Amino acid sequence: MGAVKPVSLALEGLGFTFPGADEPVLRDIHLKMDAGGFLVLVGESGCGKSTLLRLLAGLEKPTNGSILFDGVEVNELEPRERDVAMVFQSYALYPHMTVAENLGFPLRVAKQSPESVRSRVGEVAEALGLSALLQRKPGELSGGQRQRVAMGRAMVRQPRLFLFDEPLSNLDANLRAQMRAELGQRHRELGITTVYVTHDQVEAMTLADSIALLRNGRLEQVGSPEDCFMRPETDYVASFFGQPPAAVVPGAWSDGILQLGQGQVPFKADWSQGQDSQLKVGLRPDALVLDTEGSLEGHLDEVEYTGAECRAYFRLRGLEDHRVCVSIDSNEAAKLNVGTTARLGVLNDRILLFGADGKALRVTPE
Amino acid sequence: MNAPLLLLWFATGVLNSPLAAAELLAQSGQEITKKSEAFDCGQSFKAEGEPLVLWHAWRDQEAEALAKVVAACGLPLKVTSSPFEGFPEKVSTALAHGRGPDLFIFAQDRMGQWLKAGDLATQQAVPGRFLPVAQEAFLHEGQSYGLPLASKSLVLFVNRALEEQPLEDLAMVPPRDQPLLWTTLDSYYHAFPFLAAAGAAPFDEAGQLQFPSESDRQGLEMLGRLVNELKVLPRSLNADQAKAAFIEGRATYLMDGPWSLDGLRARVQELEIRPLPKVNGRPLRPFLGVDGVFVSAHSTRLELARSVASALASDRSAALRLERAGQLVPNLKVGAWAKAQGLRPLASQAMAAQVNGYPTPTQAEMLAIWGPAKDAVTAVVRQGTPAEDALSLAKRRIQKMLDPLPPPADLAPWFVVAGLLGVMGLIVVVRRYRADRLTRRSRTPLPTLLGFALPGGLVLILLVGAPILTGLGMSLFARGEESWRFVGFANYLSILASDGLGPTHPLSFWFTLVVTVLWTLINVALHFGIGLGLALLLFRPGLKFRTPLRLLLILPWAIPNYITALAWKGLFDEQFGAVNAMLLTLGLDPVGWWDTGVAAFTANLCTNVWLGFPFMMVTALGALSAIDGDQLEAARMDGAGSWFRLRHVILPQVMPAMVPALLLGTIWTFNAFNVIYLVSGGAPAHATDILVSEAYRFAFEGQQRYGYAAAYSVLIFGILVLFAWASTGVKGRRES
Repeated sequence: MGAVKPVSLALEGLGFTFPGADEPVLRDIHLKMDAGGFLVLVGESGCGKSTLLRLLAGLEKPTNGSILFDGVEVNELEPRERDVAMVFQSYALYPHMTVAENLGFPLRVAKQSPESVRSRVGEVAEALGLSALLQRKPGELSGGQRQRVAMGRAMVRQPRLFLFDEPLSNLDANLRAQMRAELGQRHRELGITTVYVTHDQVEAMTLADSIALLRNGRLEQVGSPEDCFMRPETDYVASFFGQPPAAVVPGAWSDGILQLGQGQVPFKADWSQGQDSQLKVGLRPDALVLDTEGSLEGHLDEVEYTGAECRAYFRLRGLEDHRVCVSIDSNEAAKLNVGTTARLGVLNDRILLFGADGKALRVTPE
Repeated sequence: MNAPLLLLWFATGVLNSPLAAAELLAQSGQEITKKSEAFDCGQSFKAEGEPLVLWHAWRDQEAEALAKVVAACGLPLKVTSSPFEGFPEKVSTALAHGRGPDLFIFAQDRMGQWLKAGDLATQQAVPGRFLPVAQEAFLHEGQSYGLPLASKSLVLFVNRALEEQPLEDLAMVPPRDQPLLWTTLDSYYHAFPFLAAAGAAPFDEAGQLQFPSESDRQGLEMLGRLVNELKVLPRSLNADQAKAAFIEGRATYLMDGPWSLDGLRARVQELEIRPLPKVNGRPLRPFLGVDGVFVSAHSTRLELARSVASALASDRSAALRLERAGQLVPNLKVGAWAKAQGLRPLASQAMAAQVNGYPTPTQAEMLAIWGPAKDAVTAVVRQGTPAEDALSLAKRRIQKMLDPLPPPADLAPWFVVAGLLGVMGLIVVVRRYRADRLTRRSRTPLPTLLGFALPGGLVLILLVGAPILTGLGMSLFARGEESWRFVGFANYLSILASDGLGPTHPLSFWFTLVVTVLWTLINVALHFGIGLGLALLLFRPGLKFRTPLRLLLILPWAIPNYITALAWKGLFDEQFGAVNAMLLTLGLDPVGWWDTGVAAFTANLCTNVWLGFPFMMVTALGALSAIDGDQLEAARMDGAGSWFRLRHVILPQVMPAMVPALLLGTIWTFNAFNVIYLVSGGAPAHATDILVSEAYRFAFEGQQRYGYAAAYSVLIFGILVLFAWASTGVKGRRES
């Protein structure tokens, strides 16, 4: 596939405001990424992740801060001067051109000879399994084939940086999983630095070297998928990742007792950061178990059967506004009746604790 | 034609004392009214039986005065007013079909055609009642066929407040920058006084056509000199502009007719009316048109009609019409009475100013003269063409029009061909239907099918099929004086042979075809370019005021296009137009927009481009908004500049929507009749006419060559069908 020259990426105090708008879309983004890395940008819609991608592409120019490629500022460079390729959510294939013409478009722009265009298009089509489709128009392709053409058009030029804007969101679930795997493999083969925008946390978790979670234009956390899941820096991160995500409920701790609604959980810990404080407690489905001796009492709201496991949603006494999810075995679930109450035990080492400001408290239970 | 008699009659009193007359009028309005009642209607009528039918083309005050006359004399008449345009044709057609009026009022110059058709009944002339020249205008071979009611001719209006010394002889006026005598010269009617001053007459003593004669040449040359060398006459004005200049006090002298009197009297304080001035010592002689009452030879109550006509021409009637409408009545007794009473002093002046009038000839051939003669005048006055060339061309055109009809063609082979075609068509239809019946699974019964097809089919047949067939049929005929004659392809042959004028003459089919094709190509290219360009500008992301801008740009399309066309015509006016005003401010010479083919073509082009680009813009905007914006960004990412994006991403996606628009635009432009007709009007001398506007002229501008014009239309239709067929073929190939 020829020599690649992946780029390292750094964002320093990056900010962006749409012309004429009052509120910035992005503010004070700091981020570093090694050459050849795979960064996934996630966040709710409107958080600014796509805008950040467009800034990297050069389709928008930053208002503050700088974007560095290999340590060189590229803020004012046009897209074509950045040597970046992008795959759009809509694929943005040219409907009037055949697959071969679509794939060859970037090379034709670069005024390469027809022969070299043809041979390069042949290579890419071969690699992506598109060889049989070269004379078709995009309208005659399936969703997955179009997606491959879009990727092929990005690959054909051997850019320094790949940008993906929710590339799999228009595919059905099975195809999405397949394409996701293909994409990961492609990245391992090519080793080109990649920034990938998605709202699908499975994609984020499976593909990323590192994940950047954006919230209202700010970076909430940057870290490996494991960091983000296991060691969320804020309650927002905890409530973003996981299926279902962690339920964050109010709590209070004093004298070895964690008060959760009307339940009192014995919780002895080395409590170095502020005692007595109001807390936010993140409960993932694996933090609670059905336990007739358990310290919490919950009202069973709903049971979701997902296969071998089931999700049981409880409302804890005194915390009726929140639903917490418990993973249980299907056999056990069959014994439960919606509308009844059950006792729940807490696994102390699985609890996520946050201060009233939402920042994670690093507390090690004894 | 008895001009001295006219002179004798009027050359006393009135001219010298308009003020005294006005005083008299003011003092004794009541009395004068009484006195008009003292005139009689000649006879009285008993109200019995159905009233007779009278048609006329008078309007406003003249029509009201006529109603007064009918009431005052108790005439058993049902009066119907029709538009002036087309009135004689309407009368001819109605009389021929037995649905015509018993009496009608019109100018004497169209009498010839009715006489030829035997439509007119003789009437008893009343010796001594009318101005002799007016009565003589209705004479034909010793018989009188009408009674004069009112006379009209061009006269000289003078604003005495501006007059330095009386205007005697136009040729003696020292050279000047500004015109002295303001008038339009856009017609043979307005140029005729100058030709007649040189002794020209359209017909000789024996009534044979002699236009153009040597005198015409001299007169036309003189006219050219007066305009272009001495500059005493304006080069390019329409009648309204000349009148406006006079009203606004920019002109001392105006040559116009009595129909303008009402508008002028109210606005010009010291208005006076005189006979037209002289040129080289010889008086200008305008056409004198005399409105008369005619009696239809087909009337079932001829005697009653004759006596009603006589009453309409009675003293009482003349007095009423003079008093109420200021009509110029050629009635001796009433004239003298008005003069004595000082009644309507300006009307009296106008009557006196008709002294050198030349009664408009009544020969039917006159119809063939107006158009070619007008073009000759325009060529000489505006383009400096030598009078001899202009007139010899006019002569050829007139002869062509007066040529005997093409020989009748034999109908038999046509019937055979038509019959064969019909049978073949029927066979095809039946076979189709049978084949369909065999292949179609669910058979719908024929009556149901017809039920669905009939409403639409009927509309198509009535609104599309019938006119096309009528046109096709008409193109094989030529209209003679009384009937239509089947001439086969003679009309087409004559058109393709350019009517004998040579292919480079503006009236030749080939010349006009080239103009039309150029016109269409340039227009559509500009429509497309400007429309697409503006659409691309409007489409730019982040454009401010997009909606108001789009609205503004669509506006030219939303305004009725004849209004736009007239506005542009005004903009391109040589003297008062904004375009020339701008050229002047830029230090450039003003352009005579209607004087050269290229300039007039440009003016038409500007108008039609203005009218045409919004359609392309709207279409392009629609097509553009269907393009996924991501594609343009993707192309940007791939390094494509704006030209490359336009060429390879935008245009290929916009064109499928633009091709039908281009097809439609081409057909509309090819037939853009109103722009050509309203803006340049084909000026100069038909050089800017396109096929469809030329076809119109052959049919409706004096020549009435309906079959010829129909053949023209069929040719236009054929060209467009060919074009549409070829271009959909191209489109089909592109799509497959």
